[in-house]
Amino acid sequence: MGRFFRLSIMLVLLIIMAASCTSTVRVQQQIATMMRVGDYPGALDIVEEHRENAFKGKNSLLYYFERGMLLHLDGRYSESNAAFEQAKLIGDRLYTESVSDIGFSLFSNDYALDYAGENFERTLVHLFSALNYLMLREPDAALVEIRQVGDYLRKLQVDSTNENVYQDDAFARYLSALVYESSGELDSAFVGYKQAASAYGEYETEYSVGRPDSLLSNAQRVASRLGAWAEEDLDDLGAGSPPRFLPEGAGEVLVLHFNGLSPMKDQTKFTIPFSSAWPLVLALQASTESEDRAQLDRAVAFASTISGVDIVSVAFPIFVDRPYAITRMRPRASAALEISSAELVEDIGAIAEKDLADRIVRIRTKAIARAAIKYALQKGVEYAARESSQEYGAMLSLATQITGNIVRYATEQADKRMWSTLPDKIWMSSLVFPAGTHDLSIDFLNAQGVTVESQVIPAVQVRPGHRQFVIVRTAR
Amino acid sequence: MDRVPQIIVSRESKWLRSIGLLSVLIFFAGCSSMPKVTRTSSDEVIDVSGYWNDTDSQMVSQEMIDDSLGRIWIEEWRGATGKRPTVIVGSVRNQSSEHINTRTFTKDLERAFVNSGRVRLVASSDERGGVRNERLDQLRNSTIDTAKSMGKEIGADFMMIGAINSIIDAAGGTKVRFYQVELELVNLETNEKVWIGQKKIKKVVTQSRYGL
Repeated sequence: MGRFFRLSIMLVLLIIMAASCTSTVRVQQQIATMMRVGDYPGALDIVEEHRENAFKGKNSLLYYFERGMLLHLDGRYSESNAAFEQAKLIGDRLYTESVSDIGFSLFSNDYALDYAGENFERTLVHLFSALNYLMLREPDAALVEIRQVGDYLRKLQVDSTNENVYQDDAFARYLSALVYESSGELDSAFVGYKQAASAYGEYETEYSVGRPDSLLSNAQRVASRLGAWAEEDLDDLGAGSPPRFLPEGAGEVLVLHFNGLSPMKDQTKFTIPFSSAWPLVLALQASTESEDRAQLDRAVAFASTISGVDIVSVAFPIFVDRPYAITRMRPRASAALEISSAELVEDIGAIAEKDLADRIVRIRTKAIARAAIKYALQKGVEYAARESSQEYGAMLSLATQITGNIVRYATEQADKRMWSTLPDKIWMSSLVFPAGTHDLSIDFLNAQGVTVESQVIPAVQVRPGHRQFVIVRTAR
Repeated sequence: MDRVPQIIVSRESKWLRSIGLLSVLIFFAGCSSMPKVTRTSSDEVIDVSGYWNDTDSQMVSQEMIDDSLGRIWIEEWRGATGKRPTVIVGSVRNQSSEHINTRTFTKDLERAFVNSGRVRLVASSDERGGVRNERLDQLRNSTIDTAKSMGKEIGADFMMIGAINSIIDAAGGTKVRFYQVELELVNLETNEKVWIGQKKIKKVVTQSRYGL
């Protein structure tokens, strides 16, 4: 029976692995609960509490993502940057994939692999770092992050073999241009505005996020300073708002509103007789009602364990929206000379969903291959059991088959790891103030235009000719 | 006597055992021991990630020290004024795409200036604030014969300014990192640049796509 003892150890390991897969999601749900009420220190406590389990080892990048974001929201910008630096180092290191992990993932699940972050997540790390440095009034360091995001996006474009996948980020380009302009690097700012305009052209098609009106008026302002060649160069972008100049002695406050929580990854799991696996999996759509699908799965799995029918389980990741009431912000300030209405500059939820959709064929193929490998492995063990004893072989083989079905069902998990504290959308609004210290109020409205929440940002210091950022976060 | 089922060690069971062993190894792979620390010489070249590191900083220091102290501007100043030139180190802007602490090589340069005996150095604007506060404190709290008076600072003749730039080219697992560090000495009265030092560093960093 030693063989079955060894098999039992393997099964226990696989079940432990399956259990650990769910714990990260559960912790991230707890974090989301704290974020909805704006309790960022509380959310940080949860992250720290689970550093040695849910965020350990192959999930360590998630620890630094979540920690960096929560520290950012809590105004602990230097500590946030330290976490983001770690995230960048881990992301770079994980360019090298472990062959042994890949092998193990083929008969367990993708949690055997290190989480290396999605490309858009690794882009956003630089943006939040840049914002941290801007809040710390370290513009040179913010520019370093801006250059890094430029390098990263360029590498994505060079390495990409499919031009339809995420490889440019319009908000990253727009923010880069704004920061370059604020630092007096007008050439780089001009290039950045043009890149942003081009990227928003793609965003319109892919994510239904149009080019913000402010982008062209900002670009025209920089072009007018660079000269006629630059103004002519902008003609290709079409008509837009006229160049916007700050009045003498005034400064600009850009309010960035991080709204909502980006969709969470869940899974759709199919459990079917092996003979039906291939055609059914290919025919079924991931968008099938998850509750119906789950009930069907449970029924099929239960029936098969009793009857001994061979089943295979395949799980694919899907995104599930996390609803929130606030749809837009409305800044108010009695001293403001101008207040522009908020513009949508980034739809992270849409990017995440498109990013997954672009990879889903590859993910499905791997899931099906994994199901086949697990099935073949089980058949091998069943064969060994049958051959081991003339008297008990058939019984052992049946027991192995039933156990194998349960284990294969339990271990098949879609990789649901993601940076969960990201906002769903980023909005931006520009306010112009005379130099001095001003209070700023922001109302957050629901779809019916009713104020759900208000925040007061006291003592915003405005310097003449300067641009500064104010960051607000809502998740209700 | 009951028959004991015969366990046949087949190829399948050996394979299964191997997989089980591999699973255990992978499972415990994350449980690493304490970090190992080894003392090493500060001038030993150790590249870990390919990013800017202490070796790059020391290469810049050495180049700039040798070049700045070996050029004619010191003798020209002494010839014209009869005094050693006094230098203040200004800002060295990091215009690269890495967070680089430029003070590591500017401090090396300051040390070389002072130790050479040929150049005088005054505290930078960041450092002066603390010194002035201390002087004010002395005037309030120290004895008259030991308190240092105000208004006796030495004005610098030259200011050192500079920048570090980088260009990164990357595709797949290969990155080319190019750094260019430039330092300049500017005559504070005339804006004349009396010395320009430059150091270029180019690195090729390769990272394999797959590992164990």
